[in-house]
Amino acid sequence: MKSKTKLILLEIISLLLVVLFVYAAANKMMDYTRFKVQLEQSPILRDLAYLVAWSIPALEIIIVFLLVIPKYRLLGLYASFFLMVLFTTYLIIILNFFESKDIPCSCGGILNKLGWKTHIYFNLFFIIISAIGITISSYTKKNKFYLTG
Amino acid sequence: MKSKFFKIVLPAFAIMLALGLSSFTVNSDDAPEYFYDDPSVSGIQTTTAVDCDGVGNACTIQVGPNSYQLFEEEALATPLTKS
Repeated sequence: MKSKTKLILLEIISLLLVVLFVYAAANKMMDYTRFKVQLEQSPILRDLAYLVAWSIPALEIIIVFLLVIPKYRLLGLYASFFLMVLFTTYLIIILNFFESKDIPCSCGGILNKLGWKTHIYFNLFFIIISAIGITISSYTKKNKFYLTG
Repeated sequence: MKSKFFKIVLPAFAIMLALGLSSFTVNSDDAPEYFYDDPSVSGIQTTTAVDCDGVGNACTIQVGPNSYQLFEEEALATPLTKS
């Protein structure tokens, strides 16, 4: 793949992750009470509901800043990758070890309407594009080339 | 010029798009409704905001200085508790 194509792909990946995290954080903050109540119904996060309810949106906003600032983009991509892996692991545990139909998803907006399995596929897509972004970003940093006008 | 577009305009547009989308699809659209009785107001009141951190895991609503127990139905027969 040409270097310029790689850089454009990196921009697209970063923008997709920015849209995802801004959307998810805004939804959680706009409906904070509901998000916290959903977390309280989770068998794993019940005791940490308050901490998780404010730390996840905060973390998502921090990741957005990292992704938008070119200097910290690689760090933002790593953070996106690990957050999505963590969330997917949580979904897989809920799906396999608990009665998932009684546990709300705790995800924002239209993502709430996705089933547990669909949500895992959705997350896997973002895990894969984060991994591609990390590869491209590491390569561009190593070879020091940037998209310029 | 192109570089400025990638660094500023596109991320700003992406953030605006996500904020716009989230305000249209916020979860409260389909939030479950619960009931309580505030004696100072006639009839039964409804709310979607729930606080289940009360004594004995009771779910309540804080209205000014007063806290009221929430119920699952309008008849106020089943108190809402932390499940």
